[in-house]
Amino acid sequence: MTLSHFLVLAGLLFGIGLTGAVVRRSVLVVYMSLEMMLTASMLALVAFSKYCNLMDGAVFCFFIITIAAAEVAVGLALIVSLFRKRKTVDLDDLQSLKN
Amino acid sequence: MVDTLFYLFATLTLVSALLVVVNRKPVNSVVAMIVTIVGVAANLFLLDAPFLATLLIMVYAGAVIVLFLFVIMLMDPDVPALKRGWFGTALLGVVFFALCAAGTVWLFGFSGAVPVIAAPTENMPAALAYSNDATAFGWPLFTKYVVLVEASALLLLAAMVAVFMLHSRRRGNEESCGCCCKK
Repeated sequence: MTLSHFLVLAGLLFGIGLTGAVVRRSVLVVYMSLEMMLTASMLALVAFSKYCNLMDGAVFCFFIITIAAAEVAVGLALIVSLFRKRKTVDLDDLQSLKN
Repeated sequence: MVDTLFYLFATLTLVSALLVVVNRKPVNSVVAMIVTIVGVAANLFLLDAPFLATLLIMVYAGAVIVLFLFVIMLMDPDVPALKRGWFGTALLGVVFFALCAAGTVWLFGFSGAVPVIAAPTENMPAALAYSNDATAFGWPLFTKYVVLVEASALLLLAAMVAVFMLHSRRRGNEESCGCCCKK
């Protein structure tokens, strides 16, 4: 295995996550796709860190995990309060800013 | 052997990631997401990072995804029927992903921009070199990146206060803001 194997895997995972975030209409699945993109960036960082023989990329994964945890906590709280108010999690129904 | 394991785990990761995006029931997406995270953690094991792999399984599959499951259980959203134009959306997604995948495979696999051989291991200070034990994380974390550690502590505090404020409002306030949210 070389560096490019892991980078291709991380890039494909990121692409799947990006497609899910763009195409899907359910807020929960969009959030999971965002998490998937963060995980793919973690994989790429560790691969670079291993092949450059530096610790910095692996250390940065800590901050990615921290940001993902904070983002999920705030985002899921927002989704729950949105669902209480509007009784839907479908993005097509949330268009009150449009007109 | 390691190559076989890499291809096995890469296939597992990508297939379950596709299942996350394709599934219509959110619970099935969550279960597929757990498999994706376990696959990524296995790839981190192959990259000599067992500590990060353990952390990923504990924090992501153990806390974040379970939080997703709790929220889905709390809301119990109904699975929507297929709307008109879903085929066009699916086609758009396939084309979008094919463009992303082609760009990724060309750039990282065939363009020659990624170096093939690893960086030399000598003439590197021992405290900064890549290592697979957990103590190697402590030195950069508390010397070079100590400001970032403080900033992420502040971020977690801010997130906690924000979630607390968001959910500690009284129920009666929801009716009183009828000016901004149309029923």
